[in-house]
Amino acid sequence: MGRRTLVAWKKVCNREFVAKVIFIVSASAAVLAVGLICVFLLVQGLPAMWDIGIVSFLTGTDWRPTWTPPLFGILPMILGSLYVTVGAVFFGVPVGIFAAVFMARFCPPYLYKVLKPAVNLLAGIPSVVYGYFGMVVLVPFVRGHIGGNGNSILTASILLGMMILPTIITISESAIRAVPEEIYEGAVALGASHERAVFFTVLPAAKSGVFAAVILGIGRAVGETMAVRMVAGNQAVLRMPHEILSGTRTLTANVVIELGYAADEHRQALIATGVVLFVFIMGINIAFSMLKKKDGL
Amino acid sequence: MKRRKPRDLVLFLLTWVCVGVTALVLLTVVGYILFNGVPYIRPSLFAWEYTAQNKSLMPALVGTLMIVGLALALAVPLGVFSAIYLVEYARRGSRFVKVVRLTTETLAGIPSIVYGLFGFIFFGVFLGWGLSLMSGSFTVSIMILPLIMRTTEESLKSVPDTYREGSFGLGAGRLRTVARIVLPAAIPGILAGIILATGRIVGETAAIIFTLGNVARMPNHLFDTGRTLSAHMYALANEGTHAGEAHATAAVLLLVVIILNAVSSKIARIIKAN
Amino acid sequence: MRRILTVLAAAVVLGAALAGCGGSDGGAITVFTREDGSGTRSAFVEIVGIVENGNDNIYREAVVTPGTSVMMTNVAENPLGIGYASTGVALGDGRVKVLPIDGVFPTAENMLNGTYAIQRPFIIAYGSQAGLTVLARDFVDFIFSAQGQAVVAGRNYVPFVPTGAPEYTAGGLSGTVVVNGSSSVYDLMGYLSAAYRELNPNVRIDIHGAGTGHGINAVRDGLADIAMSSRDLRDSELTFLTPMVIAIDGIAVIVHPDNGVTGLTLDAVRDVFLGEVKEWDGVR
Repeated sequence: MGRRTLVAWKKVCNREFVAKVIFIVSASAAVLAVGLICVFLLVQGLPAMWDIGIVSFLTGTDWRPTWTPPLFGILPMILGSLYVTVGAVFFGVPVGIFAAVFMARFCPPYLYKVLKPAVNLLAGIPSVVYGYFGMVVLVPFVRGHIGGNGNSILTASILLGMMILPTIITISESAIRAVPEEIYEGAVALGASHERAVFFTVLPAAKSGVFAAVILGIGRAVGETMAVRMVAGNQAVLRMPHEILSGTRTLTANVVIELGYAADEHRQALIATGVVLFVFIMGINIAFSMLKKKDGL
Repeated sequence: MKRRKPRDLVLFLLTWVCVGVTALVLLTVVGYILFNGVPYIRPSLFAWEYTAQNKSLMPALVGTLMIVGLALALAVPLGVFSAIYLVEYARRGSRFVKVVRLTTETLAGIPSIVYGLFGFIFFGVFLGWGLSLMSGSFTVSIMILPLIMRTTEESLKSVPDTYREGSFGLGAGRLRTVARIVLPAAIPGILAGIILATGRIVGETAAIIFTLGNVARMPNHLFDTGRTLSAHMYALANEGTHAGEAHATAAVLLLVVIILNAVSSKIARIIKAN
Repeated sequence: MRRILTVLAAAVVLGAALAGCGGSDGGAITVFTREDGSGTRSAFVEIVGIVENGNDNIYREAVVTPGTSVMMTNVAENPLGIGYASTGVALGDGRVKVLPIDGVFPTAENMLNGTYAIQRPFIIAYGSQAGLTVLARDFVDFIFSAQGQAVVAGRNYVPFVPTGAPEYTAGGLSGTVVVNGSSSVYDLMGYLSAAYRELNPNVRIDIHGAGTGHGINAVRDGLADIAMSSRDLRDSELTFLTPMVIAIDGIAVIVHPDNGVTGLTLDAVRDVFLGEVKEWDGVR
């Protein structure tokens, strides 16, 4: 081997090494970000929670920030977030998954050319626009055809279900497409119909991707702020699960509605609300990753 | 059409119904916004300077472009590089990979209002950047990072291993294989991720108003405040009564998203053709 | 997997069925209120008497509408709704009906002579210690000039200095004034700054409408020159702020234009917003 080739080899090795380091550092960015978010939210939010009392903060049913003395109980908001998220999953996930299956396996090419950009567009519609639409179209619709005054858990659930559709469809579709063709062909070769092969072999094979889609969908529903606060009614009142035609306030709405006005203790209580939201998300993620491990995905 | 068993027929019809519902949702929202908004679009809406009379969205439009550009410049390299590491370099199931996966999922799930709070506390107050383009774009770049990572990962994974084996077989190193063989094949998928990310930034309000602020004027430098189109829409929908302008702004916002999507899919098609 | 599919399919069918079922209840009032911390809300509950031991006691089932415009749109869409908003906004918007209270309509005259009870001042305030910059002082002078007060009157607000305000002449200044606070005053401030900038093209006025409390904090922390408030300042705030009234604004009680009710007594308004009267039949 000549000297020249040796130098060239070294250069390649170096380049490989440098690239690898860059890739690892990039991969650490997400970890760093989560660390910073944890530290800074906790430092700001925990003292307030401590002052109010963690138990009375989390289980208090009265949110009266302007009273003397103020009451900071966020149980109504915790339940509110829970209800609208469950509602969004109820409306959005089944439709989303079936639509994704359609797009990946049933869709004629001419239709796909229209549908794919349509779903992308749905993803791009800003939540303020959804909120405005919800306020002037969905709220009167629910009031007129279903009941209640329209600003309700149900309305928020329908709107959120609409909003998480593109997330569910896009991620599920790419997961279904990533399933090797042999799995489908094998099922068909064994005599399964197209539907049977798709729904009972391909879709199960794409399970982890579809679960990821649902996680992202839940994330979007829990975190949605601007649209929910326009349609949910925003009453900080404790609701039971059957009161879906009554209004509710979510954790996110609580923060965004009052942060502009809040000072001192009130402001810290709102940051603490953000901390609770954050802890919820962590909880969901840990539960799902444990579920995944158990399923051996 | 061939005959189907009842269960197959139900499943088949359900897929059609669900895709129909999706299309209906899109048509209703887009139709409503455009129908009510386009008649209010006037030249004065695009005046270079915002006044209480014209409610110009120009400063917000420029602010949006700046935030999108800055945030993508930060997040796309980071996201693509980390996806490359996870898929092409890391040992499957190593502890580091698990931690990165968990944190990425966490990031993806964090509500935008929490990003807003964090961005305000960290970039705005702790680093002293205040309400500025810098605070805003750093905050949203963290927000879109998981989206870019995940879509890149999915599309890298969907590149058949035979491509890699062929490349290695011809004597290419790992970096060369990734840069020349795997990445080009994955580009449409990555672009799809960038579209989603751009859509998310354009549509973001909660994280923006607490980091970039919400002042109707052009940012003059990186540490200047401003607003994005969505924040502008938020302001119009809250303050006073400007129903006409709010409708028109929503329509313009939607048109921006439509144009963005069209351009991106065109790029994807060109790349695919080559 | 099969079970999951069945559940999914069932959910789709159930969802469709739920969206299709009908029925609605009769004349129950939908009460709309602004959010806690809103200057409009605290002025409204104080004047109408929805305060108990100094605590805001508005009906807990009232739908909270964040922002004046959200309030307007909701009342405009809901035939059984009732809400309240700045008269400057409500009178200029044909989508809702403004009700006379105790037979008195919120005109400028009725507010100045005090017969229309639900009114509050629009206030601007600056830090007592730091005072105003030369530029901010010039802008304030403009607001209290004949030209400034003409802008106030032109937008359905009641000028605080109706006659005899001095003429303003531009001094050719340049720079930036930062204003922050009430979203109710935001609109008026926008028109004032537009008129001011026609005379002073080199001055930039940044107006944030983050809410009364936010504006007051911003001035305290030196982040803004002028705070906007849509309520009287509290004693604790007066220790570091110097307030000035720039206009009087009524709070209009608003309903859907199709609502048959032609007026309410102040007591009826109180009962409705306390949640003690829940049906429209109860006030008609």
